[in-house]
Amino acid sequence: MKEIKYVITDENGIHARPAGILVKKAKEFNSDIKITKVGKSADAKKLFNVMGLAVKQGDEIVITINGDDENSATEELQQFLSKNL
Amino acid sequence: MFTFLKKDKETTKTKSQLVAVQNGTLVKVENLPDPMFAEKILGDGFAILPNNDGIVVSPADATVEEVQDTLHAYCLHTNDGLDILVHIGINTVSLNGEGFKSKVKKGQNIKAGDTLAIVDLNLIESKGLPTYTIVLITNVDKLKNFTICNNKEVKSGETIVINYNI
Repeated sequence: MKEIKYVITDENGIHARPAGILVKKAKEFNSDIKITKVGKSADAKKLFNVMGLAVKQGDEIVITINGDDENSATEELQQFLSKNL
Repeated sequence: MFTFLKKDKETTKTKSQLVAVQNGTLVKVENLPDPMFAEKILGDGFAILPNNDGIVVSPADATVEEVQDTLHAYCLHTNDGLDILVHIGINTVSLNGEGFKSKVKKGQNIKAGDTLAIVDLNLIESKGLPTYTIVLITNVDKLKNFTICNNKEVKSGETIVINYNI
C-alpha cells in the first residue's frame, strides 16, 4: 500500500473540474484509491464521493493506493496533485 | 375514479426522461466554451443558456446527494440509479457562493421541476462568467442509450430534453 499526503494549494479546492480529472485519472488504475480528509474517506473513482469531501485550500488530504499498479498510480497522482491542486 | 397501474412487459428496460432545468436555449455539451465540459470529462448530457430565468430546477425525481458549499453545483441521484451533476455557470466556483441561493439540502428527496437553486444571472454576467447551466449524467455508462430532443428553446420543468434507457 502506498500513501500520498498533500496540502491543497488551489484557492478553489477540489471542485467539479479537478474532481472530474482526478476521478478520470484514478479510474485508469486497478488499485483501490481512497482520499481522506480529517477522517472522512471517499472512493477516488466516484465523482460525487470526491466532491462530497468538500476539500478546500489549506486542507491536507491523504490518498491511499492499494493494488498491483500502486507504484505507477502513486507517481501519476502525485503529479496530478502538484499540477492541478 | 379508477387508477390503473400499467406494468411494462419489458422489465429489463426502463425508459426515463430528464426535463429542462431552466427556460432558455438548449446547447449541446460539445459546444460549451470549456473543454472540461465539451470533452465530456465529467459526463454527458445537455446545457441551457438561460433566458432571464434565474430559477434552476431538478431534471428528474432524485435524492440530493451533495450540495457544494459554493452553491453552484448539485449532485443528484435519481431513483433509477443515475448520478446527475447540475452545474450552474462556468468557473462560478470562484464566486464562493455569491449570487447563489440553494433551495435544497443534502439528503432531500425532490421531484423533476422542483427548485434546486436561484441564481443571480446579472451578477454572474457582470463577473464575466458564462451563465450556462450544465446537466450531466456522470455515470453515463449505466445507460443503454440516450437521445436529446431537437428543440432550440426549452421550458423549465416541462420540455423533455433527454430520453434514456437503462
